[in-house]
Amino acid sequence: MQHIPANDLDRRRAAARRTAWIVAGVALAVFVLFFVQTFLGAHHS
Amino acid sequence: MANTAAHADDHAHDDHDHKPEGFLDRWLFTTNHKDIGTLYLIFAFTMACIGAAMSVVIRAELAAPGLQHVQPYFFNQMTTLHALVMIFGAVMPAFVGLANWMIPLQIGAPDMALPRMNNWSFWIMPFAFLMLLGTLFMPGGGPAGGWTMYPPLALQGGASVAFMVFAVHMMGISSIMGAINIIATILNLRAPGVDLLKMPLFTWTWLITAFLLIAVMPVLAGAVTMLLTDKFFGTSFFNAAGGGDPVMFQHIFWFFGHPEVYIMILPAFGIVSEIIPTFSRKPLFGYQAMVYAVASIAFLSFIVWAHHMFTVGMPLGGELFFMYSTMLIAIPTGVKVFNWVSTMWKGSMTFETPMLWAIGFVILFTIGGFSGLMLAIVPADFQYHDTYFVVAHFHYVLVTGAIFSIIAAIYYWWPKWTGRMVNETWGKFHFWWTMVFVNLTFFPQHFLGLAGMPRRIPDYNVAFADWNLVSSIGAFGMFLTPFMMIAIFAMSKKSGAIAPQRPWEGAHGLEWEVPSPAPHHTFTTPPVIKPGMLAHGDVSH
Repeated sequence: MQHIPANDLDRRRAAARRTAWIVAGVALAVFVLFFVQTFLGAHHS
Repeated sequence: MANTAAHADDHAHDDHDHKPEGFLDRWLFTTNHKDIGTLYLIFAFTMACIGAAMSVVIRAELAAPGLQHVQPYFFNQMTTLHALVMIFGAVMPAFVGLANWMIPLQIGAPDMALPRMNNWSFWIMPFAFLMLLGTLFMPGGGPAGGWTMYPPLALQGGASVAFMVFAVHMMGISSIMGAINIIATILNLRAPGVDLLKMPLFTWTWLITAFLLIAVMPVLAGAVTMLLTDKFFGTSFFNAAGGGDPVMFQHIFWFFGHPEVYIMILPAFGIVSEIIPTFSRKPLFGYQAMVYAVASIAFLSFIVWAHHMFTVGMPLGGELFFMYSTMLIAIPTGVKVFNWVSTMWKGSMTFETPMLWAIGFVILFTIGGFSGLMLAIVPADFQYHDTYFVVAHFHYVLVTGAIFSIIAAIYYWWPKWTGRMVNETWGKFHFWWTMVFVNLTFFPQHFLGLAGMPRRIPDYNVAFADWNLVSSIGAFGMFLTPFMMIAIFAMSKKSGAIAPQRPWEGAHGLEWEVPSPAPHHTFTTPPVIKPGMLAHGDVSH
């Protein structure tokens, strides 16, 4: 059975953490955008 | 280097079934994807039982015209909480539980990418629901304005509004963290050789679902935050008297709400796409078409939201746009149904319990799809809107769709989880019992809706009495099914036949490469993928 070096998993876990921060940033951006957009919309109507 | 790796692997094998000792360490502080999956599934089942009990209150009241058992305001609390509990407490956590259990196993990962956040995602949920259900015991009772929380009606509740909003926030945070974890796991922790277009369909559908969650849960959070500030902090986002617009809430809510519908059905598509090839002993017909169909449905889900609110009055161009965009969804959905049927075509089919639930899903979900197409037609929707036809439609999609697939998945993967087989006779009895009573409950609601019976009312015209009684009898029969499930699975856990590593002859995929029950830790060393092992993208027809 061929084995993958353990440090490869560490490297991929570090990449996964970066992905998680990016996705979390997107979620936060969606929240802020909708809130701000609706806030501005409500005050211009 | 090879020796070191081999030694590390031996060590992993020594430890692979090591579980934390002590109840709290095992369950409260767990970071193990299988244990967290189990917690999610138990939580979802508990919530489903609570939601089912509420539905029995609703159907008992509706069994005959006139007020029978409960006051109208309490009836409204039951309809509101039944929906919130079933959507956010039962269906979504059940799918997240299945994702936790199966995604790392299907892609050859040792665990989820962020195991401690995984623990947090789960343990937020019980507190959110304690808070939501606790409102029933508060002065003024629970939220009663419908799960859609439309202002100004929803804001007329008492303190329960704040509790509901905070509970929704917590569920949203849980869902977002779960989605982040799933995306990071699938994109980064796949074993070498598990290419994206070789992934099992269940993993694929969950990847797309996770992106949907990331895109829309913050929108829901924004919407309910604005409700909260309108109620308690003097803002007028949705208050016409203060310059706001209540219809704007509906637009924002359904921008979340329609993708939410697909959040609850795409993983179901994935499950059925695992089960049908297994019991047809054929590769899935049109694997790539299935992936692209799911992606298309996800994209279209963002541009159809206003079909939920045709009757608020919108420009003709808007009505036409949302009508046609909604109808477009029938195309990728039709591709999926066609491919499931084509997978079965000329297959060596057998009808074990998971397959029965999967076929039941295909047939009955399609009925829900067709009634959805009827609702998409603007002039017809003016007749159907807010009637029992809508109730029938979404219960066909959610009960015989989402919940059937969850039950199918439990029967399918149970031997892998527990190392025990389920009694086939009782499993089939469970299926046929449910088939009879679920149709008895929901099919007559089409007739009631077409005849004009409005939804969310505790009393109705005597003209609707007969079909309401039939529907209530069906609901009482359905209420026995959770108890049936407890008995069937408890019996299996206690004395079921020992499950082999691959309990289903036609099953392929990495989850069937580990022993049954799956050890506490799996794939601590990534597996080496051999041709055909994945049985999805790497198998040609």
